[in-house]
Amino acid sequence: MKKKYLLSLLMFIPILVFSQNNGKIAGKVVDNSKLPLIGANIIVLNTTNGAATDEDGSFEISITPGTYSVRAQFVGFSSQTIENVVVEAGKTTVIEFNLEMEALAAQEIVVIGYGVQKKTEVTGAVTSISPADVQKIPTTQIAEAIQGAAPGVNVSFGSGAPGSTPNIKIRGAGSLENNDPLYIIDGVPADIQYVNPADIEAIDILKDASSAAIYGSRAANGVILVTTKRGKPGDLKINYSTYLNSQSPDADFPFITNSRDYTNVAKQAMDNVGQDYLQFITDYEANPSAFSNSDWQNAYFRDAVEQKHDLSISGGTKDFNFSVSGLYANQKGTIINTDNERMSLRINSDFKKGRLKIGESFSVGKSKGTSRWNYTFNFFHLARMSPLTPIWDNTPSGYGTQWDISGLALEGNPILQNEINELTWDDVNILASGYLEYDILDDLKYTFRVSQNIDNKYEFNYFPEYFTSDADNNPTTNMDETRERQYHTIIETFANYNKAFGKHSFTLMGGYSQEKIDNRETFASVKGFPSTELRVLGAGEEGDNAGGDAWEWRQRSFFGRITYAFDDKYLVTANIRRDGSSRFDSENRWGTFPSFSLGWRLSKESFFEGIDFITDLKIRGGYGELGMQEFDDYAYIAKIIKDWNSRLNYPFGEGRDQGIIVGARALSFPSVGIQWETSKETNVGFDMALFGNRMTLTADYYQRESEGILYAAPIPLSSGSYSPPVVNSASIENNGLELGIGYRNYDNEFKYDINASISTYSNEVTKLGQGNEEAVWGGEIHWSMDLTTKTEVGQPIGSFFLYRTDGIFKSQAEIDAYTKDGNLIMPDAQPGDLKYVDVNGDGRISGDDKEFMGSGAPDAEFGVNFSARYKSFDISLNIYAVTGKQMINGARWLTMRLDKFAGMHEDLLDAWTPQNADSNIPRVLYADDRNAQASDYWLEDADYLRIRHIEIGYTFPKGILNALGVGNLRIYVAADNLITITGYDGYDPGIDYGSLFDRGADRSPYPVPKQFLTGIQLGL
Amino acid sequence: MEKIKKHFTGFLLLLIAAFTFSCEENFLEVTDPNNLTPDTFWKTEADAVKGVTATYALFQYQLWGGRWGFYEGWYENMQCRSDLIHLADMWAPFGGMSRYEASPTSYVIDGFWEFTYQALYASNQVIENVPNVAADDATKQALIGEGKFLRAYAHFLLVNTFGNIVLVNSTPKSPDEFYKPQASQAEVWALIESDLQEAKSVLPDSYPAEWNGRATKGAATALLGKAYLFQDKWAQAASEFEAVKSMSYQLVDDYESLFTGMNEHSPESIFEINFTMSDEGGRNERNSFPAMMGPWKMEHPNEYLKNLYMNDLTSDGNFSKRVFGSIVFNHPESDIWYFDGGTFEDYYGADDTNVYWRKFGYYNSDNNNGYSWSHSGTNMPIIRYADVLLMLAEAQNEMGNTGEAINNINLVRERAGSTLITSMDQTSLREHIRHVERPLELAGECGRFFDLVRWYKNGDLKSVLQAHGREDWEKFDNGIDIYYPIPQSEVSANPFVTQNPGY
Repeated sequence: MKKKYLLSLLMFIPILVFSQNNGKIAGKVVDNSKLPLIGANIIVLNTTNGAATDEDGSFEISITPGTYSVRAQFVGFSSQTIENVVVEAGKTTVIEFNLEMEALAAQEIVVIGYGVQKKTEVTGAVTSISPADVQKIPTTQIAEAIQGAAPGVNVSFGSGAPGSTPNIKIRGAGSLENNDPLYIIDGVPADIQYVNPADIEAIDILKDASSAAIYGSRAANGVILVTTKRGKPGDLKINYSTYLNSQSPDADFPFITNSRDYTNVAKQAMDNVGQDYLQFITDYEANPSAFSNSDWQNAYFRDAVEQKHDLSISGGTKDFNFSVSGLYANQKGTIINTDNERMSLRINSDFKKGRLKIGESFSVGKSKGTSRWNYTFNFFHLARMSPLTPIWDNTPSGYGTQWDISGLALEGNPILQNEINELTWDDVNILASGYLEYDILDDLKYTFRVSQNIDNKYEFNYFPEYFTSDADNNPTTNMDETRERQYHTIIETFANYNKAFGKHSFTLMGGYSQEKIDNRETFASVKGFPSTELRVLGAGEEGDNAGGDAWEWRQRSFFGRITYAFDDKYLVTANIRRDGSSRFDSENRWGTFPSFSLGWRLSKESFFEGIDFITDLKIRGGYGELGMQEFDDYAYIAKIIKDWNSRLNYPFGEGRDQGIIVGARALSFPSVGIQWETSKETNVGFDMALFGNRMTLTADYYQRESEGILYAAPIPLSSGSYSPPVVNSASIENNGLELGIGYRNYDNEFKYDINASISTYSNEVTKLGQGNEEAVWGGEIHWSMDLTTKTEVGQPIGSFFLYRTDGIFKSQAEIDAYTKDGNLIMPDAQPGDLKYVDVNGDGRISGDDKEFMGSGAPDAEFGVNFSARYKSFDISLNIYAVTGKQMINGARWLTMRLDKFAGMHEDLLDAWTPQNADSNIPRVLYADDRNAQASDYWLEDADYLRIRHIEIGYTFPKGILNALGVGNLRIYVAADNLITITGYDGYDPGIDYGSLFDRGADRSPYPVPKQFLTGIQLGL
Repeated sequence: MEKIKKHFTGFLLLLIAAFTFSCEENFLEVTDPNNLTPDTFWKTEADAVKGVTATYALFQYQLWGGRWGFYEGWYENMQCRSDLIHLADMWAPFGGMSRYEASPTSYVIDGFWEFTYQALYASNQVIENVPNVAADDATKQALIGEGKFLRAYAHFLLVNTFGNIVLVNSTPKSPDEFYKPQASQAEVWALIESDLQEAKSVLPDSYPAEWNGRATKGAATALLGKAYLFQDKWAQAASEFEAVKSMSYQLVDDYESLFTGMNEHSPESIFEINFTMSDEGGRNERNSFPAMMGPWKMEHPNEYLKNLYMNDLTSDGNFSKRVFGSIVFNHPESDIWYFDGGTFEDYYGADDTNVYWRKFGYYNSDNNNGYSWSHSGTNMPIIRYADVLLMLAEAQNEMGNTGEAINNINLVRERAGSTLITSMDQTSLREHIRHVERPLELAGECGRFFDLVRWYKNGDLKSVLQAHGREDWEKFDNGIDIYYPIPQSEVSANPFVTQNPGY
């Protein structure tokens, strides 16, 4: 059906074009080296006619006779208009455009919140990502397009699961708990994950406080402004693009999969602690063929395919334009039984009548996928499986079980868990916003905007009954459903006034906004189903349980901005915002967030006239204050909690089976007297263009003090509070340097752009809670290992705090020589054990010997984007690298430590023994953790360089396409994450969880796959 | 055109006006739709009972919100330093504690401190808010009495476990009050005494059976006596124990039934921590005794205790009821569920050296009510009448009334079927109470280490451990290991708290 339609459309277009008695405008577009510009747009002004140039830079437009103005435009070049082009019927008028390469930023418009500004006038630290860069990486995740493209913006991936959302952090750590920037989509705060990257026109990032202050209380982590595509005057444009992505998991963790090797290590581990062999060992020796050689990892991972389709239709006249676009994407995960399916529809249109303009942005997004218990600990489940355990077996469930092999860790079969349980989520998000603009005066514009975001989240979990053995079974099918719906309503109104006279120009903006979020969640579970085919709550027969809660958040804001420029040389911008939030009590409800910034365009000064190689130079500096209010609603209101868990209920009465009496009381203290968290930031920087705009340079340095950070710092347990209240309890200092360099050369047929960014940053905690030595511990690898990170005053957030090791004792002589004042420091050690350093010199090894050892936050990040074009071919490359990053290889720890016999690491085969005395791998020990302490033995450098994306494309020549009536056609092949150069031994050095306290503690979440893409982009 | 413009401007002004007026003055005021607040709660007697219930709940020490927590957070935490047991090597969380190398970062110690202080916060809420509820005065007094009993019991646990503790006799009113200094032991004992004196004067003698488990006058009197005993206030202790003796408590004939869940709140019971097998509404108020005391063998009696049992004989030379009720050992009549109909030898082999717990290990597989080997609804006895009789005997002996003391001990021995004591001098009887009678009657009931510390805190506990052949006795330091360290989290967060000596 679809095919037919497309075909008839294709046939129809040439008829339209050639059926009238028209004249023609034809010609060429070249640059100042007389080289053709391919793909330049030619627009006949005040008509709907236009064309794009072909591989020779030529174009041809059929048009009714008359006199026209014709404009040629091309990205990176200043546009040129030729007036009085006369067209006569049946004749061809030839014109030639000669475009000048322009300053990269000369005409660029930057979105700055409730208005726009010319890039040359911007005085804050704002990074714009051009549409070309956004579109460069075919993806369903905007974050992937941002990584490495904007200095100071860190993008990291917590998981490679389909549908998982990357973390974006701007300029390090603005706060302790929440470091997500504020996303503004077409003017309204909304969730970025529902925006299709193909719909994006531009991304502008407000990095410093002087620019972000216009968003006041939610801008402490920076602001990302996303503008979606709107229709342009001209012909109807239809674009279709698709890609097929074949993904392969990087699942090469070195497990022992041979049962002979496995049993040998087990014997050695038991010999070393002098225990009798467990039953599985004696059973194995008696009959090895009765045991499997299971490769659990191989069974758990798979190759998987993703496909994405985008279709958009846009067009318009000078009074009306529209854009409609749709997305369908389907991604299978590289872990069995995981997937994600996305659909979205966007409709943007604008209507103009006289001084009035009305329009809307409307989008519906749907995403559904599979969830597994907890992606982060998924691997840890896999790693608890022994090769001796069969994956599939002759049991009632058909799966093997480790429970029946005496002496192995009691773990369920992860393949069974993934295959039989149905754990899914299914979310729908609708964002509708409408605006009305009215030009009260020629230079005074009034805007009124209403937006409603409806978010529906749904989760479904079904655990069917199964029987593998007496010990490993689920006797009762159970299921639960959770629904959460959220309405986010915003009403805002503001006016912009622009005035220029003589050398002065200024703008004024003022406005008001009111916001409300209303959230409600319901939960129900039930168990005991007559059949595993029945999967609704109503079919359950016992154990009905339901719950739910609701919250509401409201905010009211006033904001304003003034900018002033004198002679385009001296620039001033000042913002102010005053926010009132329902998260604070009436005494502390309102906060004011001011900022100002100054710019000076040195290159406009007369003393700069002789310096030819500098095309443009602006220095700028600013200061601003931002707020933060991301914590629970109602925190300042005391709560009585009832029936919440076993801490509140008590079984009074007779016998062993008496009923439960529900109790209630205040569990935790309320956040009495909390105020806005404030961060104060100073930013200085410059923007420079060199060699006739071929090269650009942007640099920024910032220093930020975040004070009164809203954080539930630990309070004494003796207070009796179940959890500490969120209070203004911490301060952090951040500073960093950001550098962006761009160079491009379009002078020859080989045209290329190269952009590089470097950012460094560091942070230090300057206050934390009230106590003497208050610390926040994090970086959990496993419950039986000490937490690996410690955050305290004077240290960066989430610093590793570990024992230092100095190799292993190779002999008793080395143990005997390790003394303090004549006493052995490690009297219990034996050859083959790790040697811990007695850092505090007290002659023994204790927790006081732990030291700070870097963190999972890189010291510096580098990004390089390279793109080039030669005739019809194009190539692009994205490289990303970090240095100074440390990670705890949790997977290695888990599989090297034999607390129970579970999964084993291949390194165990080379462990120290008297016969293998040169080994640096500690001896194997059963149920003895002396070598498995939280030490630097498990800490690895996680510096890496990754070729994130490489792509080669071919654009078909116009000649062929014209015959088909196709506007343009490009095909490409690409690869993601193809090569990673790193010394890190875990799955992925790029993994980073959202929490600052856990950064670098690698629990091997869902690995990010390698991807190979093939794609088509078609324009009609 | 001009007209449209005029109209439109008017429309715009109307729109703005309408919008402005629609802004409610109290737009930013919200109320929590999910929870009551202290102001809207604490109105009725039912509210007060809920508050009291939530206070009892903390003494189940369900660290993980389920059945494993009580065993780790309370039972083994109390037991692991005893001179009478051997702890399984595999039981890592208690390894350091049982080897007298307790760490300030142990999650068990941290959890015990946390739960007990939450119990103090909860009991202080009861004590402060119940006076304002609408109920008759006697009811309110009794509820406040329960709050005070529980506050006293929490302080009792804390002072004996940690020595130097923060005393909490009110709820914090502002963030400054989160940070309180340590009090002297004398101040803590004074508050325990006054709380229990007030409690025993207002608490009822008993409750209707559906409220079994709430603190009674007998419970407050017995705990007050125990508090005096722990301060060597012999006469005051004896007087409280005599008062308990004059109440209606009696020793039950079936010793074993006290630990099986089959005879809860028996006439011998004075105060118990309740558990239930019922899991209605997914609520988990169970413990894991049958697994822990059964086949997992987390701990078992050591050689010293085994020898006591092997010598606790009836007049005809058989083992006493409390031997069969407390342990399984290589004897044809010794039985427990996991032998599955077999004998000790079938399960453990011909092992005459080791013995294992039977106490609390009960598991009735015939009961379908969600029962399994890892679940149990067995209550934990905190004070029972036999203990009161032995404490009375101890106080009497210390006051020189050795004859009366022997009579009270013989009441306990008679029930077990053990041969009676005919005569003993004061010193011998002191040793007998400490190292024979109390172990035989009360081993496995968590009181042992507190007893050892009260007897030897100014003496030489290390040599007692050595004499009893306790593993790792050589690591015990008399000046340090009588108390656990204050949890590191408390020391870190509270500028007014200092760590116990030696840690």
